Amino acid sequence: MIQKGLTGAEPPGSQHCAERLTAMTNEPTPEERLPVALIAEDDRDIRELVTAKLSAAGYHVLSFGNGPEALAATHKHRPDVALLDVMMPGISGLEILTRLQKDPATRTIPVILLTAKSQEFDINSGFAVGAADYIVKPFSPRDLVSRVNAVLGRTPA
Amino acid sequence: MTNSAVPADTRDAVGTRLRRLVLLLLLLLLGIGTAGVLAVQIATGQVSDLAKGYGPAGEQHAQALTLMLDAETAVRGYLITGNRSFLQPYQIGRNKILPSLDATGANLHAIGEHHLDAALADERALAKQWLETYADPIVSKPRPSNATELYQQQNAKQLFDRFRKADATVGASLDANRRRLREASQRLGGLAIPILVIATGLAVLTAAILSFRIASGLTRPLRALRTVVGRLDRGDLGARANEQDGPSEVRALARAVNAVGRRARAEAIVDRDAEVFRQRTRLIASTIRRTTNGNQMADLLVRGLGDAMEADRVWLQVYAADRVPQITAQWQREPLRPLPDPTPEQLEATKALADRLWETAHIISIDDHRTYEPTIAGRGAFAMAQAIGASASLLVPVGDSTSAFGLLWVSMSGHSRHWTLTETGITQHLAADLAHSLVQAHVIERQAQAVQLLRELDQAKADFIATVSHELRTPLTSISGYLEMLQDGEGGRLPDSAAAMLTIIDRNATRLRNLIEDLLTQSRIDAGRLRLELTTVELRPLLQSVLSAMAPLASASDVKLELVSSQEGLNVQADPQQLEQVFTNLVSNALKFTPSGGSVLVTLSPAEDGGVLIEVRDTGMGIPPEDYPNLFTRFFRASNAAEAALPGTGLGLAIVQEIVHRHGGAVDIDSELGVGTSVTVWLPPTSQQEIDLRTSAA
Repeated sequence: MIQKGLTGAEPPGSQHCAERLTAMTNEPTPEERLPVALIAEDDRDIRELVTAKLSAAGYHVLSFGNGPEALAATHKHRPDVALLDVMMPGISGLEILTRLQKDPATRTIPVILLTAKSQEFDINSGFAVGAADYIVKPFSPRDLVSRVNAVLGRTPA
Repeated sequence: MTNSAVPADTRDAVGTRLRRLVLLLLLLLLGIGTAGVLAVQIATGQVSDLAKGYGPAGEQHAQALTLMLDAETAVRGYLITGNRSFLQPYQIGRNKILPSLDATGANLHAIGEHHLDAALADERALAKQWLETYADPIVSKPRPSNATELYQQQNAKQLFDRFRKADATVGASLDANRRRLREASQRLGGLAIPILVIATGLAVLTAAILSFRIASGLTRPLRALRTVVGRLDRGDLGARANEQDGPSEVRALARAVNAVGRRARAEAIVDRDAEVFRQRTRLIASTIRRTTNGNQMADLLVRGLGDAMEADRVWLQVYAADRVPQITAQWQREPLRPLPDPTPEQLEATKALADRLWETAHIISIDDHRTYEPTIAGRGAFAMAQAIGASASLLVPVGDSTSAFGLLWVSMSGHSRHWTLTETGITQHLAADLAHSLVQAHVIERQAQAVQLLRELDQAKADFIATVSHELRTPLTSISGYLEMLQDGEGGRLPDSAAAMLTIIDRNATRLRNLIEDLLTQSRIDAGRLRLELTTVELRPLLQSVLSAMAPLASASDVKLELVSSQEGLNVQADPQQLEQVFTNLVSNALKFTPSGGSVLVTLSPAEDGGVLIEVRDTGMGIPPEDYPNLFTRFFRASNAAEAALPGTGLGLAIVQEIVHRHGGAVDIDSELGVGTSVTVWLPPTSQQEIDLRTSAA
């Protein structure tokens, strides 16, 4: 199940997009191509919240409600960044991260882990497996966008 | 075992020998005495005959002859001369002649000699005839003229000659007798003395020889016997005395010594066997103690005991009780087959027996079932004994302090057996050991079960907390997230009244979030699951973040919230999330207790010792001094806060202290009622903190 990003909230993030395009002029990609963010989160409300916020921030968002689909899509679409919920039915975010790290093709994709288990979750082990960052629930959507930008080296306006 | 009673063997007995010796000596003594007495008597008789009989008789006879010769001479002189004076010897001797001859006979009669009576009578008659018929008539008349003729009458001379002849016969006889007596006396003397000497010598020699033989026959075997007793005494229990040597008493003594030796050796063997048995059973006991599994214990016991006692069958039944589980264990020697599981009736019967034995503190030791009459209580169990073909049994109850909970049955099949005190004692000991171990094992097992249950519960609790954490945070994420978007105007412009409402929602969402964090943190602390994820934390941004999160709360209650930092770049080694919780709690508390128009000031400054001080000072209601000791007790709430019905869980400061302590820091509270409260957190310098953590971990 692929949910397309909410396009209604496009205008506020367009300037980010423009900057990104400017930054990527050297690359052979089409100019209209937006950075792709993949979100894997089993809670629909949170998924839509993140999708809306990132879309508004100028990302093309691929969102999935379970691990296996997210893993398949990551291999297929090679997103620029992946946000993975640690606690998910099927395959956990940590497991997806581990698998992505094993495949040279997907190893470079930065992964941000979303977790509700701030204390039990061994953040260091998350980093050890190769997470770029982690975000603890409940989080501020603003904070989430700025972290995604930070991971991709984008600076907000 | 040899009968130790004195045997009827008196052959060569010392007593017999001694009796024989004494008898012999007595006989010899008697013989010698008799011979002596006899010799003395004979000698005395001879002397007496000589002195009383033949001596005087000879003298009287000689006197009679002398008188007769004088008379004859006198008569003849008178006849020849006619001188009457010649007759004087006749007249003197005439009346003495016949009495002398009579005295001779009387003397001889006195010693019992009558052989000469006839000769004497003959002599007397001739003397009398000569005197009366010849001499007297001549003397009484005047000298006849024919005196010479008369005298020369042949018959007178013949008569006198006859007299002389008779006299000579008697005299010779008397002489012969006297000579014979003297010779006999001499012979007696020459014979009796040597005989007595020889007999005495023989007696002395015999006594000496026999005494020596008896003495040597006694001392040699006795010395040998003493050597044997000495060896026995030194522990050489194999030493034996010669039972064939010496007199019967000594042989009997040797047999008695040997019997004692054999018994001592048998006892030593029994002792040694008992010690070996004890060794084996000690091994069983220690093996039993090493295991905690009841069935394993029971198996070890029956196998070990059967082996050690060389029994045919060992059966152990433990009846289910609150202290022990039900166990049946058995062992049997090949080729016996295991018993089928006991029937409920058999279980009941054996249990009743065990209970009874336990109550009366008894065991049953049956050497031979054929001669054993079971009690009423035991009948059921003995029916079972019959069923399994037990020929000898040892039944010991298994139990501890209060009651029996099992029965141990050691049995033989096919032959009787004497159960020694050692065996019964040790079996009881093992039964007690087993009982103790079974109860202990059961307790341990139940404890293990309880621990397992607690672990499972703990795991369930941990899982529950994880779930709650996840389940509460997830909706909270949506609430806060969409709230933020609304406040950011991403849902379109909102009227002011709606914005004010959103602020309230936001404030309470934050409170809810903090509440959840506190509860989860506390439960993690309780479960020992709170771990520090140490990284280098710069305090200023962290405090700023906390303050900005609290800003809506502050502005809602119209309290000034401010951060004062005298120095940039103050770092500590800490778990940022936990530290954030500490200051969230402190600021949240300060805001809660500070009335409108007041202020909360957070001051960050370096401590003199290289650490960091963070002070949260409010202008709130203050804390009553009597509440100070309990401030860090969880779920405790200051009395005035509770009275003022201010919301709170009483967890905040407890968590603050716990986290700060875990970081090696300290919390200090200073308060004045109605003026305000100051909470100061000191965090140690990095190096010292590391040392402290290491120390507490050791």
